[in-house]
Amino acid sequence: MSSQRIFITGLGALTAIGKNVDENLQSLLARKSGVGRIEILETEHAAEFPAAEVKLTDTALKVALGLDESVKESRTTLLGMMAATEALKQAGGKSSGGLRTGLISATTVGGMNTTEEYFFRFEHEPDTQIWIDKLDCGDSTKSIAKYLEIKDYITTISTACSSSANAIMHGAELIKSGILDKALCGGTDALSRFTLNGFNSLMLLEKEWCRPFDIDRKGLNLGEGAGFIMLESEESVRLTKSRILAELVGYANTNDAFHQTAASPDGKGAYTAMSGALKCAGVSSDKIDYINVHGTGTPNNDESESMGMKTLFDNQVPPFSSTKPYTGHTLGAAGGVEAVFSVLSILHGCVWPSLNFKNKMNEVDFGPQTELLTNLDISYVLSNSFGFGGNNTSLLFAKYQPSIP
Amino acid sequence: MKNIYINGIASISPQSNWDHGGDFSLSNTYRSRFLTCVEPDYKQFINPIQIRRMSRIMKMGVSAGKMALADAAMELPDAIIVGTGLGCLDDTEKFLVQMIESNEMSSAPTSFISSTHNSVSGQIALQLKCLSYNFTYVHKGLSLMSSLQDAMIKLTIGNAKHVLCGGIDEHVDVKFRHYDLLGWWKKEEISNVQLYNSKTQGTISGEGAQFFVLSNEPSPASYCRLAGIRQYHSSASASEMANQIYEFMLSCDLLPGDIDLIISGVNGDVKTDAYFHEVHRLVNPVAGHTGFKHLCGTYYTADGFALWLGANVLKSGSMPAETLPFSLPQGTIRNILVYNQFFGQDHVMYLLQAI
Repeated sequence: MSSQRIFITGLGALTAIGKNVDENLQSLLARKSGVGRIEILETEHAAEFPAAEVKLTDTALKVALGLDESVKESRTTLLGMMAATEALKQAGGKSSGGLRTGLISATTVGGMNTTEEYFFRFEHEPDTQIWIDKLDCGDSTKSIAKYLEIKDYITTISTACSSSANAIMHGAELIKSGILDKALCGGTDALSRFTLNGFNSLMLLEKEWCRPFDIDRKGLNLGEGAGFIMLESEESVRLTKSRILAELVGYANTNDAFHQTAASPDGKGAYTAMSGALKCAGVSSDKIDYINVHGTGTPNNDESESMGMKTLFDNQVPPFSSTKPYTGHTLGAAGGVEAVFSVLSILHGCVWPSLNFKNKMNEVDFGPQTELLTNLDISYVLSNSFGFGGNNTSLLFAKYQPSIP
Repeated sequence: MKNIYINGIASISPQSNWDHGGDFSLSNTYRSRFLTCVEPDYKQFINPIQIRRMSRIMKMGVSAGKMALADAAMELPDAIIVGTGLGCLDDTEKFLVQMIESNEMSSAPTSFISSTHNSVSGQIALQLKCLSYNFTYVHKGLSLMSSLQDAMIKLTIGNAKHVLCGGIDEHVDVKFRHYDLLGWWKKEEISNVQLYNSKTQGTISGEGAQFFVLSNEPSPASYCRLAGIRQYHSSASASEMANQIYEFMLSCDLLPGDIDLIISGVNGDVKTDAYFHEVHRLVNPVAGHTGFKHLCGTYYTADGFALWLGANVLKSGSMPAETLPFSLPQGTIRNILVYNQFFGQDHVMYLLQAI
């Protein structure tokens, strides 16, 4: 494995709890959830399932981005543009001087939230035809790259709920292998009728506020948003003099190979992803200060993830919480958003509370952190993202130390 | 980067070339605006009970993946990486129709589950019980290139020795009609072997699944080296593209003059074919030049077919007549440049080298 260190120099987040990273941080500190009645998406299920919408219409997003109202971009793209711009700005903008910059984005919905409106109207309404080539996942990345003038390498990952965590991992490897100097990595997903009805058909939605790890949990609340982080090589940081916020020291992606949509209850998938990230970093499990878990609130995930943690930490599980009761499950954006929350945990010495939890499940003897913890020395944070198709990813973030001891 | 070898290949395409034993035929001819695959008997690769529950794209992907592994004489890769431009579009459309027609009251989950774009890579892992790295790239004409780039990284700085990598996209009627509205396809039915003589706009649509086993060690059955890979995602003039290719060749420690054959994405569109010929002329006018899209049609991961073809040419040392080359390579074929793009964007360059 290459010894190149990967530094994080920019953060961007747009979710139901904030238009930017600072607003998200304030909501996390204030225990302010963004889950509520669906108001922007027009769906038959608006009264039935709470969700965490970004409280900005497409028009408002375009205004914030300086785009004309007539510009045709999907909501997924607009959300992504906002968060990616924020991360890029914090990292000092796109540098010239020969530093190769890439955009590694992720999405599950792609342009679906907009295309589902027009899909059967294309043949009779020529004005809608511009959306034909904007349904696929890559389209949002292409538009974001154009908006930010990122040219050297772009691609899109779509592995369900682990998508943007995988984008971060891939960005790190593109840097380690010498293909890029800087990689803007993350993901975006807008709420759509397609996903709402899809998750409903799988009976994975909660009609109340989701309560990850609780014995009475019934399912997840969907969310929408975008989360991006800027990764830079050591050499790049030397040249750009960007402020280092944290370091990405380990990562792993493994496959459960158990079932197309369910995780194996013994938590093997979660275990191998987390232990893989630790091994990649050469960090022992007793060093972990906080785990931002995948914690969707579904019976299957939370059981499986708990078992994985129990095995890995030999029942001495560090403080952990799910931030999905705040933001909802943002699907393709979850890994990116939660990477931002993990870095904020390090920067501010906080462990975020896992809202709505009351009673432990029977399978394990531990539960998530329910109180906000502050003034801690947080050195290592694990962030989990597990997706359909048995796709399990764990990222390990560390407080920046000038030289490795 | 370390030396990367293509040690196994497989293709399900409109040609009868899925017999990985090496006997393939490129002589299927069509008179159509779109080409669809000659499909194998899936029971050879998948349990019949499971076949019934799988979407077509899943069957194609799983089978092509297994064929490539068998071709490389191995069972379990260290990573599975798939690229697909449109993903599981057929099931996406099915679920969308269901949702709209029932006014959001329908509750059958099967199509939704199968619409997740990483279903193919996930299903391959399930079939092989492969617990390793598993990624899916969904980025238009860069989807397969992204997968192969990732595979090369795994084989160089990762711990992988063998990576199963593939590109797959399927024909979906409604999407074909939609792209027709955008003017992508020929208005008239056309013989595929006359594609490059056509003087009209548009091209023919296609589909396919091409899978590869990439390794960092050669085997007695290796096809060739994958010596370089690059993307250029914006639009570019022919001379800008020729410059990009020049820089690409330099990064592979070679010059454009070392290219023996260019396999390019010419596609019979009178508006754009001249571009490819101009690129050929600027890069190396004495290199051989052939198209491949008359054999497989145009689809986001069609570069997979070009790579499959190039690998076969390098291993056998000769070009099948059905490639209908514009000009023949002179002498031994050692270096093949595969250059493709998707309607003026998402340019991809690959260098294949004889071992």
